Amino acid sequence: MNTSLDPQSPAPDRQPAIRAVGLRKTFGETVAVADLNLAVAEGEIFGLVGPDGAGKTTAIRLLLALLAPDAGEVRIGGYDLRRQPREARAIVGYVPQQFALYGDLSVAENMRFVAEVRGLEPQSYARRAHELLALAGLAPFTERLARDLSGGMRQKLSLLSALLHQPRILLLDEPTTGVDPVSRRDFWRLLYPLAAQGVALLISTPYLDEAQRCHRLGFMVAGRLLAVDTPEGLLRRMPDALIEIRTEERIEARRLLRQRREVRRVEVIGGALRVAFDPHAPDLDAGRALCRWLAEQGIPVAACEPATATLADVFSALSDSSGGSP
Amino acid sequence: MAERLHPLSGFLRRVRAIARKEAIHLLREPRTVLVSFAQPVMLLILYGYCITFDLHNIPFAVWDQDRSEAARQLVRPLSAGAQSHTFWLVGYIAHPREIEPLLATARARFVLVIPRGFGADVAAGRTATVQALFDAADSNTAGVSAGYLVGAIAAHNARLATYAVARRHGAHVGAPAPAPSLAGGDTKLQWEPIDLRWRVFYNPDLASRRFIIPGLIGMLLTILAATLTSTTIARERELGSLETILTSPVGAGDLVIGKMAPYVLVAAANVVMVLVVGGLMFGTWARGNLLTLASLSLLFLLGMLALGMLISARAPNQQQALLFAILATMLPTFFLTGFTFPRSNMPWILQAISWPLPATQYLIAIRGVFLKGIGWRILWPQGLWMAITTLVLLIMATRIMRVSLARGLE
Repeated sequence: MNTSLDPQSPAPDRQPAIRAVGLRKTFGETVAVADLNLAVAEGEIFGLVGPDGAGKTTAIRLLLALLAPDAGEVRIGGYDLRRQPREARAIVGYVPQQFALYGDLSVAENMRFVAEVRGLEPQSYARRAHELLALAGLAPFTERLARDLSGGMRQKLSLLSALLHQPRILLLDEPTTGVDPVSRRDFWRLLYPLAAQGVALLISTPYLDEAQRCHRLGFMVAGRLLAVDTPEGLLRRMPDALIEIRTEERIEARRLLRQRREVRRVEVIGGALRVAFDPHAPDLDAGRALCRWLAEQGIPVAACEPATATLADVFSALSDSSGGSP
Repeated sequence: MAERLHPLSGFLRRVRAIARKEAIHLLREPRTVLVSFAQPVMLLILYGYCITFDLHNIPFAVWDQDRSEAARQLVRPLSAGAQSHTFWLVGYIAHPREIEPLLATARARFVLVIPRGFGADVAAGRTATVQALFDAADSNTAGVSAGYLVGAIAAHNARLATYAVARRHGAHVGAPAPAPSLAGGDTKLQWEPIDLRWRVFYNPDLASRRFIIPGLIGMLLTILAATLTSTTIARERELGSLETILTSPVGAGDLVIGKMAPYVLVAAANVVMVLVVGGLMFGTWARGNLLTLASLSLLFLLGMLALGMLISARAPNQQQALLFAILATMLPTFFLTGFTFPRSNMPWILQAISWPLPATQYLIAIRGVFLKGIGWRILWPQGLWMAITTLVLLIMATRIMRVSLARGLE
């Protein structure tokens, strides 16, 4: 095989590790992925974020040629995926959303199977497996059947199996969905060093706290990438101003606020209302004005504070502005 | 990638990895294997003990209207002598009214009616007619009984004919009853000019189970392949592990061969078990060379496993795979290959259709080895044909698997 595929050697060119242009996939009437353009560089952790059904899994499967696109093309490490799927897959590691190893095989047996079908030499496999198992804290469980592992450990096993052949590119489809927060943190601790070694990572997640950990984010809704930026860049894109209002009568307050033209979204979060509104409203302090107006309507307002935008707020705003006009 | 592999060693490594994984599945879920062993034992018991195609002591009655010596001579060999274990004379009746109750209560399987004038016809050399009334509620038994009776009557006819020839040349003319003498001969023979004995080849005691065991091995190999390999890809798809296979360098050929490998051992163990259990239960052992038996069986077995893989590559889910595999293998094997119904009795079109079926050729081959003790020198056409069909099935399975893998998760 070409030595330029060795993950340790520098890339022959500065092409992105993953590049998708105009990818499109429909299932019957449903457009799962519409005109997806994506580039992930070596050493980058790219997060694909979006609600369920946004097309994240389909997008990742298109990047692996597990599904054939209706249009568009994919280059993986310089290989045209359509023409050289085998070569492309040889440099990719993949952690699918659903556990895709064998429950009736032990941790060691599963890893050995993956290593052997990947053509690894037994000596180099044993060394690599040993390292990875120690790193992930799975070393004491090598003889345990995969079906008897906890969800977090099972996902670690999937990750380790995907790393055996030292891929240059790692695709992870919601690897931490349904996994407890501590295990999720452990899982991410395994990903950072990979990026530092130059591996390109593309990870999809519905969790915004995880999205925060990525170098760049693509926000996907209904098959479309609405925005691609660093987490900080996305926060700066927040088009709305925010206030948090504390009141006992949240339901009535929400009904009233929704009648105002400058108000874009009202969400009940815990004991407070999180209100997004047009920052260019004529009032100089539109937020305070809203609180005063609520009080005039007979709603007792306990607190009225400006709030800083989170990624969740940005994504809500982006989803709203894209809604109905694709 | 750090590895630089010779393409063949990569292939062998992948095949070995898949074979080992499949073997672990089988060992961790021994039910599949145990069921595969229980099935043939059940079939052995069923065919060996319950479904016997032989009949003994078929009860019958005689309505002798003639009451002649000729009539008694017809009945005597049925109730005594060599045929005595086949038929069992329950009695004579005197009136047609008695026929129906006898048959209805199954005290007699058939009633032999000897008409008035039977003895006179025989004596005059005219064709004498007898009638047999059968209880055909169980048509199989009736058919077999009728077959035996026809055989017995034919034997009697042969005796009469020989006697007639003898008489034409002979000195003594008289009723057939007394011992006739041969023309010019000074040797006086006892009753029965020829001693007709049946000589049965290959299945000396005419035991159908002797014939059944090799057939059962053929049936078994086909069903095993159908039930074991046909679901294997659908199972990977349903469990989600197909994604691992698809994103790995595993190719269609690796998958077909690797997945078949452990089942070759399972099926081979099954064949050995049927041979041993069948032998112990019924005392029927293969006459031919066991290596011949093994090599022919392996050729056939590989083809059937490939057929299962072919079905597996196309089937959308496990249930459909299983159903299709059973339809595609069990039914033709049961009805067309000569397992239950002799092919020689089939219309030519069915014979033509059934000839190329590997199971047909295997059945011919394995019966040849098991019953006649013949080897490759005679059975090479069967072996060659099975080799060809196995190769074709393997190539087809690999091609269909390749198309299926290229479709990915679509």
